[in-house]
Amino acid sequence: CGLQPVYSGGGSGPVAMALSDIAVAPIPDRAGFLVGNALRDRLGNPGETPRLRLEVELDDAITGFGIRGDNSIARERRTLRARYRVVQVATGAVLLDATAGSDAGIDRVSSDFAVVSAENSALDRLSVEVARQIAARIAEVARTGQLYPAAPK
Amino acid sequence: QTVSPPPVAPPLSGGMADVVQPGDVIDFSADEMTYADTDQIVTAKGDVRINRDGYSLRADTVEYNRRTGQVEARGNVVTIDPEGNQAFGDRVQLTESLRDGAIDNILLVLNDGGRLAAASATRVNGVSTLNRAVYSPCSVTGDEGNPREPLWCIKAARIVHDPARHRVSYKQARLEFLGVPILFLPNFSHPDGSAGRASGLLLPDIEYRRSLGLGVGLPYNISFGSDRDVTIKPWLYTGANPAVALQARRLFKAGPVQFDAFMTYANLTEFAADNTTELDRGDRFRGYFAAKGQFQHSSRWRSTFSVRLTTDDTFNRRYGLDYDDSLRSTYNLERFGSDSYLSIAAFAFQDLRRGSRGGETPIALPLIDYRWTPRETVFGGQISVEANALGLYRTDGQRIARGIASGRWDRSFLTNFGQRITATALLRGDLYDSANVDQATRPEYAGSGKIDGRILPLVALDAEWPFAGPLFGGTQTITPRVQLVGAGGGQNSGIPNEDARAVDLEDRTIFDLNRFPGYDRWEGGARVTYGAQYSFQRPRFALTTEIAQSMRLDERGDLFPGGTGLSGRLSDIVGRTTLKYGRLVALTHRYRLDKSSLSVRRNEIDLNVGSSRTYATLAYIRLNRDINTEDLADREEIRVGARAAFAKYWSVFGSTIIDLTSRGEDPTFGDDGFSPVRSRVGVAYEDECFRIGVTWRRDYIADRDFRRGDTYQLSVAFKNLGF
Amino acid sequence: QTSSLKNHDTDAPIDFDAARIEVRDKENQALLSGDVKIRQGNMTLDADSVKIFYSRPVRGDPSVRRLDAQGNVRLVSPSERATGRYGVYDVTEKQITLIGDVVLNQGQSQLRGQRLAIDLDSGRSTLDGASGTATPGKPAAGGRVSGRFVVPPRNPSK
Repeated sequence: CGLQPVYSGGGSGPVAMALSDIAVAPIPDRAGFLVGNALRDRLGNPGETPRLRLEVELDDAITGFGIRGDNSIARERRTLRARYRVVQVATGAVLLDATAGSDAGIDRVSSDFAVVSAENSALDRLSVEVARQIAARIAEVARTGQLYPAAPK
Repeated sequence: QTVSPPPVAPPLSGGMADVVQPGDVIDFSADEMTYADTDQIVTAKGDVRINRDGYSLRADTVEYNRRTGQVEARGNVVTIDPEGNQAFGDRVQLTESLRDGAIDNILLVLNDGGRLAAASATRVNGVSTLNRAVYSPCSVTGDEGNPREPLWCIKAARIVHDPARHRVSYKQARLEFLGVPILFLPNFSHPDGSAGRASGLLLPDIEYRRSLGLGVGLPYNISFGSDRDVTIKPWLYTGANPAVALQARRLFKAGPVQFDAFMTYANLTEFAADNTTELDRGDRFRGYFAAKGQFQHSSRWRSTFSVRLTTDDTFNRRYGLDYDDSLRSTYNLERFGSDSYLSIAAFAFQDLRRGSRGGETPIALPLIDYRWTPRETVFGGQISVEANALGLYRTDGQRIARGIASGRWDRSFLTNFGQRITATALLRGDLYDSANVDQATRPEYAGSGKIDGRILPLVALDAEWPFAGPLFGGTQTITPRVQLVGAGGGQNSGIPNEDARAVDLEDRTIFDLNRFPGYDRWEGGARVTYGAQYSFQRPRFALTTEIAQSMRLDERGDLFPGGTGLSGRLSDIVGRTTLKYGRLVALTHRYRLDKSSLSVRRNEIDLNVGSSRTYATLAYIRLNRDINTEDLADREEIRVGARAAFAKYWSVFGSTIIDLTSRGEDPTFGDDGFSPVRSRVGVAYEDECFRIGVTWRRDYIADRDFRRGDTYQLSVAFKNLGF
Repeated sequence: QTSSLKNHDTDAPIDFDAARIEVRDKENQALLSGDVKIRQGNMTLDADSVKIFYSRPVRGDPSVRRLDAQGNVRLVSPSERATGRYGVYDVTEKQITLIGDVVLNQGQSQLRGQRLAIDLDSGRSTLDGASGTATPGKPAAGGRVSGRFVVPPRNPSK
């Protein structure tokens, strides 16, 4: 049914080359540092003059639910959402404008500090997952050649 | 209003600081222009347009006396100032600057849509003073353009509009709603459209609450300049003593700070241990205090703080401030390097749950978290260093101090077949010390109480092999994934467990190197984790589903507590499915199935349908984990919410939370199977200048002196007045 | 500063200078062409060609009744300068009219229109956008007048 490996050709394949031509713009806050690291890990370090720039805006929220008999909350959910754009550095043209996001559950256990620690661990995991989704989508767009509209054939 | 125009005020020339310097240029255009040389008067006729340096004027005829600098315009006069405020009039006398002068029968349209009309007005240095004037931001034309009375307006003896200070101020004003005067305001002012609060009396809040009776809040805002203001809102209740809410805001150069307080001197009823006999403590000082702020010290260093305190557990819920069951106070000093991040934080909690003893609530001081990932690679791999230090205190409970450092090396490469292989090596060192172990509330987490340390090595290999291809005009992608992990023997015994108590296997955690949250518990031993993700994407449609399971290769089945999905050799099966159709439908389903019986251990479904104005949401969760180490009883809950917008300005909204936990799942829980927790219904009208909303809410669960019962809230807002 | 055209002496002698002069005595007309320069008092009128109409009383020498100027007409006086495509100096009516892309410069102020009528008695000049044969005072359709006034230096003791 027409399935081929996304990264065929390995490190020097077209998709990998496209991905390593992207510089990740700095993203604010702790979540931004974590997502930025995870993105650089998945996209590879760009050369000196990357052709494309990836801009990411993050939205991080914690909501509570599962209300117990004494009106207290039994479980929290941390949601990390990203809106990102791939921009051609030379022309400023936006080649890809999409969203990614995921969430993780946190139980309200007997130590408030354990909840804080579980929230931080959740952020670590969600940053890696959001970076994975962004990289996978960019790889998909690169595979179908849309990251090089202006590139001479 | 038909008012005979009074004689025009004498033209304001001479004496006034004429802002026009010789050499300034005035551009004219007209159908015809006559220049009488004797008295140097230029008369322009026919759709005359004049503008000078941002000020412009349009009229049927204009006489410009070049000797005195006096400009008189007659017939459909419109003057526009650089900020876009338009003034219409019959006869206007202005100076050459086109800014100052007298205007007859003026209609001033502010750039935010607000309208000021008056019999006559004078403008000096750009400040318009209108006599016997009316202000209203409401539209004066119906849907088909037919003129209609504005919904509300303010009539005043005198209104002064100062575009430079962006303020509109009133003398002897009265607020008329649908033509009926409802509020007399001696003198007050509000911003002319740019965001900001009106200083002076704001609009009252009215609410009925079963435990407090009918309550009216009268906010009064005092703004000290553009960067700080104070709002005082006394509350009067029919069923309780008065209270006062206070909010102070200040924007420093480094960042904003906000202080909130809600205080009263009122009756406090506490409950004895059996939770039924009431102990009346009489009238007491009760209050809630919160301060928060953020300071950007330099391009790299930033401080954020938030302090929240209340005098007693149920005060916030009883007075409708919030539903929180634990107030968290933090201070966080962060440094953002180009490839490093440092956070030095402190945490304190005020646990409001029944039966929680203050002394047991932990205080974390400090919690230091440092991450560094240099861009340079070592043996082709990425290095990342992590350090964590914690000092945790309890006034009467266990104290813990710990220091953790870890170095990690990751190398990922792509094979020609398109597999993405990641090799990981990690070495971590911990050092723990704790005191008052005998006072630990939960002995199973206490550890040995002596200084203890451990070295934790780990190696892992992770392989993903994504395939993609076209399908139905979109693309489908399938990504199998396998991960092998080998970690040094799990030496958790003797180490206190403070931050690794919230364990729950999820699709997000199954591929972690250590599936315990936090640091205190380490998952040793060898295991393999396997899973696959499938996604199909077309324009406006996206479906993603993933599933995973892990199996322990050694005999150690007792690392994780029962019910967490990771106990035993084989883990439960976890998965997630998300489906999006344009912006209309978004479905997310997360689940955990029991490894042997495949029965549902955790089931979370979120469904959002509709647009931003009219939508329905559903959130369902079922926990059937029978976790015995924590107070995480099984439960089942559903939340439904909906909003419908209709007739252009009206909207109805409602939401309810229903606890479906049956006695089978949680023996301590009274009702069986279907008991609403909280529901809310409201209706609101909102157009460009006015908003009114009525909300009914019912709380079905009581907690000490936060009683079951209804709450009705009326909120009214006159827009553009910054109310 | 008032315009120097006010009370211009229309009886002062008019002297002509042109490349060619063709006199048509029977019709009491003279046709000057080729860089024509006409001077009267402190006012000059230049044009590519000017047709002069004069009246010949029974006795005495002829007196100029009207001058029709054509082709980049330029009227210059110490206080202003005006240009147009055609110009008519009606001496007996003491009226000068310039027609066609008229530009009137006074000091640093400048006005543009289609028709400029200067009344030499009152010093009153009317500029409008009428390009057709509009009767004075009622502008024909179309034609806008645009101008740029510079604020004159005023003595502060106003």
